Parts: sequence; C-alpha cells; structure tokens
Amino acid sequence: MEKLVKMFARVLEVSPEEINDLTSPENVDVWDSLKFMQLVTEFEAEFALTLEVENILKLKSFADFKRLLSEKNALD
Amino acid sequence: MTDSQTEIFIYTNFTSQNLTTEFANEAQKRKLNYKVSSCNFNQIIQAISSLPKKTQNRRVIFIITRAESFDEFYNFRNSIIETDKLHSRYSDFLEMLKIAVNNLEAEIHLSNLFELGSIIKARSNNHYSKFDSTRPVDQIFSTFISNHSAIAYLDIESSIRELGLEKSWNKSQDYLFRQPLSLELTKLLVYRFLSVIEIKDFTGIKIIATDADGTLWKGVIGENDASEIEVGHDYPGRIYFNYQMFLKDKKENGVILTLVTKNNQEDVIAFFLSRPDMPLKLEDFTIIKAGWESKAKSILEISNETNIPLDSILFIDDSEIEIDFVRQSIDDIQILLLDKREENRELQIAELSYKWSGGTTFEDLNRTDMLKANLRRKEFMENSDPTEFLNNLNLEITIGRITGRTDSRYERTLQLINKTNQFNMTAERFSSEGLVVAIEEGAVFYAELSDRFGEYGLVGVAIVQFEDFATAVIQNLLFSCRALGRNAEGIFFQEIVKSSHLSERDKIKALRYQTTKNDQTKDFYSNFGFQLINESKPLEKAELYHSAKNDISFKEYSAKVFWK
Repeated sequence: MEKLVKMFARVLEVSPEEINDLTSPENVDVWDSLKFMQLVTEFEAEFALTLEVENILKLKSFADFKRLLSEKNALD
Repeated sequence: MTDSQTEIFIYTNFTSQNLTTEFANEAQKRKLNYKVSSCNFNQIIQAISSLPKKTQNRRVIFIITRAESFDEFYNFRNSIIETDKLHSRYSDFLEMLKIAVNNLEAEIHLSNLFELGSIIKARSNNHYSKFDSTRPVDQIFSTFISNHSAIAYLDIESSIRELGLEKSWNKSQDYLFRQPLSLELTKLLVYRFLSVIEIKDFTGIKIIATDADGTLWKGVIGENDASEIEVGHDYPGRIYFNYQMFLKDKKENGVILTLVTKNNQEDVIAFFLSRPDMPLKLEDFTIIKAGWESKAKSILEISNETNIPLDSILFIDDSEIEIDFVRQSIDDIQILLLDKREENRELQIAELSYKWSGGTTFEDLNRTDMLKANLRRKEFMENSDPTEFLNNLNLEITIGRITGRTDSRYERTLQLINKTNQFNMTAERFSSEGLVVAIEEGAVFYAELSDRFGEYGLVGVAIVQFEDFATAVIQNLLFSCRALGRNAEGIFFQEIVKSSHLSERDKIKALRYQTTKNDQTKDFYSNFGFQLINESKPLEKAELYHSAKNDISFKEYSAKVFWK
C-alpha cells in the first residue's frame, strides 16, 4: 500500500500525504491523459503486472488502483 | 573532466514514455551524465529538423518507427493495407529523414518495429502474410542505410524475438495509449541503447587497451598455475580464445594492442611464454603496462607515449570497478565492459566486429610501423633544439586533389574529415555523399607527409568551394594531430592558396567554428594576415576570415613540396 502511495505521489508530483482514496483527475490538476498513462505504466512496472484493457478502463481514482491491486493479490 | 554532456534523443512515432523514463532512470543509476529527450507522437521529422545542426555536446539519436503508427495507417488496424502504400509511406519518411539529418552533428540509429504490431494483413500479389508485405520495406531500409554512412541500423526486432512476442508487446497499453513496448522489452532496449552509446566513434579507435585476467583468459595468473588458466576450444576457454582472435584480427587491420593489467610484469611474460597455444603472443602487444598503478594512469601513459589521443583508445575490462574508475578519471576514453555472463560475450564481440567492419586504409594497416617511426622521431626531437629538429627532419609534403569516390585516397580523406578534432577549423562532419558533392562542386585537397623516419600517410585535408569567379572559400582545413608541430599544416594551406587551382581567384575567404577541442586553430588564419569579418551566422559561432590574395603573408618553410 505504501508503495502505491509513493508511486502516485511521485508521478503526480505531490506529497504522499495528499494521496487518498478520493485522489482522481477531478481533484488533481496535473492528472491528465499523459499522467494517467504514466500511472498505468509505473503501476505495471512497480507491481510486475500486465493489465488488460478492461481493467485499465476502470481505473478512475486511487481507490480503483488499490482495489485492482487487492484483486491481483499484489498488495505489499 | 569536462562539463560536456551527452544528449540522448529517443524519437519514436508511437508513444514511448516508458522507454524514455526507463532510460533516464538506468542512466542515473549508472551515474551517466545523459540528458534524455523524446518527441511528440508522430513528430520524428519535425523534432529532428528543429535541432540545431551543431552542438558542443555529444548527441545520439535513436529513431524507432512502426508502420501502424503512421497516421494514415492507424485507423486501418487489422484491415488490409496495400504493400505499395506501406512501401511508399516508408520511402517518404526516409526521404524526409535524409533531409532532416543533412549536416546534423549526431550519431543516428534507426530501427523499425514490424514484429510488434498487427498491421499484418498487407496485400501484395496474393500474399497475405506480414512477412511478405514487410519484406519490401526491409529492403528500403537496407538500401537507405547503405547509402548513408552517418546512420546506423539498430536491429531491435532481434530483441523481440529473443524475448518472445507475448512478453514484448503490451497490447492493452498499445490499444489505449499507443504505447506498445512492454516493461521487459523496454528494459532490454535500454540495455541495448546504453551499449550502443558506450561505443562511440568506433571507426576512430587506434588503440585497444585490454585487461588480462578474466578478459584475455579465465583465471588469475598470480593465483593459478598456467595449466589451470583457461583459453582453448572448450567452454569456457573458447569464449576467451575467440576474444583473443578478435584482438589478433584487429591488430592485423592496424589497431595497436596494449595490455593494461594489475599483475607483476615477469608473471605476465612468463605466462605468455608458457602458453604458445594462445592466439595472442607477447609480441602482438606494442606496449605492456603491468603493475599495481591505476589503470587510468597506465592508459594516460600509453596515450602520451604513442601521441594518440584518449578518444581513440578503447579500454576493455571485465571488472565493473576498473571500468568505472577509468570512466570517471578519463573523460574521453571509450570503454567496453565485458559481460559477467561469459556466454554473452560472443554476442558483444560479434557486435563489436560488426560495428568495426568499415574500410581500412593504408594508414590503418601501417599504424604499428608509423608508431615505431614516431617513437624514433620523438627521441630525435627530444635531443635537438626546435629549429634544428625541423631543418633536419627532411620533411616532404605531397599535395593533390581528390578526384572522386573511386580515388584511392577517398576513404582515408573521409575518415580523416570525420575523426579529426584538434586541428580542424570547423569540425564539420561529412557523409560519403556529402564529400562527393564537395569534390564535384569545389575542390578537395589532401596532404601526405614523410620525413627521414618514415611515412605519416595522408594527414591533411582542405575543402574549397568557389563562391564566384573572384572568390574561393576554404570551407574547412584539417590536419591529423600526429603530424602537427612541423608547420606542415601551414605549408599545405599556403601551397593551396598559391596553386593554379585557385589562381584565378584573387579573394580568399576561410571559415572557422570554435569547438571545445580546436583551440589551436584559433590564430591560424590571422597569422597569415587574414581579417576576421563578422558577417556570418552568429548563432553558429562561425568566424569568417577574408583576405585579398596579395595581402596574404606567405612564410618561408624548410620542406620539399610535390604536387600530384
């Protein structure tokens, strides 16, 4: 979980404290399509996953990334 | 160490954010001072065109194209594309690339990704497979590369085959973001790119400084018996045997071999004598530096003793620590870290041989003799005063004009233009095509030198263009650093200016660019009475000198000059 928070903070260039379940493009200015791609790329790299298109399309917020991780049993 | 940076451009016509990020991370991990940039989607040509032609830094550009990322094909995924259209799109792209890279100071590596994609239903003459439809495009690439010596083809599809398509292609990200490279493939490509970057200006290598233990043979000669040291026909000795064969071949093609090893000198000599079955013999090494000093110090001594600049020396070692230390100590050195996994070294050596397969010139083949002559010359110089040295050198200069690509001196001329740094007025590099144009539209002169100690070979080049009936422009003048200090460059210059080739022109202009390495050319033209005029491209730091022929202050020299 901590790894995921750190990754989000790094990509979105904010402090880890600012990351929570509600973190999404709605409330983070820099979260544009490019950042989203970067989040997915780093997410796959960090947790050694290859996501399917349908999974990626469901990722709308930090909570979604977290849920996907638990589904894939890759949470630390 | 200088502050110069290596600029890396990774330009793809698909999204490759992951490749750029991974490259930057890996470079940082290896403490490499690289600045990495990418381009916007499908903007390769625009990005290259907007780069300044000249740079103080080393610049390496990796270009990767992918058929289905070209706009006109993107919406046709999984539909039938005529092979002719594919062919024509790539021809257009390469034609534009040719224009964009013209006179650009950069090392360019071009790759294509056919394996990784679904544009597989292209149709031609009843063939419906990817292989049949992409083969004509492979041919366009192949022809393009063979006509452009400044561009190298980097076969990254072999990496995909090595990894397997399933592991190479991130289909989800490809569909969603047009980013097709998987993490595994990205890492592999970064490794390939870094290997390519480490080996720079390969054709300019004049000396190989090789380590011994773990590099020339498996084992440590101070610790193992000679019989336990492995070099031979079985694994793993075969790996080392092949490496020695590679060095032997390089020596026969004019590269000077030197040994840099942390061992006692007598142990090294004894070992070589005890193993006559090895391809390399003691006498194959021109210089042996065995001892406990740092390898960086030994390499600096080799450069001093041979008068060969550090950027023409390739240091090969199997120890990461030694490689790192040499890299940190000597800015310009070229290095190769042999893979820890011995089975990978065959591929490393194969890649080395492949990159080194350019033409060899008289100067390359006779380098060992020339070096011996130079060592005798150096001794003579140290025992004479400067004037006496020049007067007694019996210098002879032969000057002539290169007639075209078939001229026997053409290859050497091209080689000298592209590797001379110190006495080079503009450091402008030429492709083979560019040189032919210079010969046809103007005049390209060469200078060959000899003295009482032997031949220097072809050491000077001047490129002259005729602006009009009254004015000749010396576009570039360059001289090999090993022939400097004898005023031969001055004799060459004034002989050309006085010659009948320029006789109708009574105004001479000469061009010079300041680079990080050509300080010694600074006052050359002013010393002949040329005036600096400030009418040329200020952004490119060009200096344009100018003189009426009658105002040039010609000098007296003690050398025989022959025109061919």
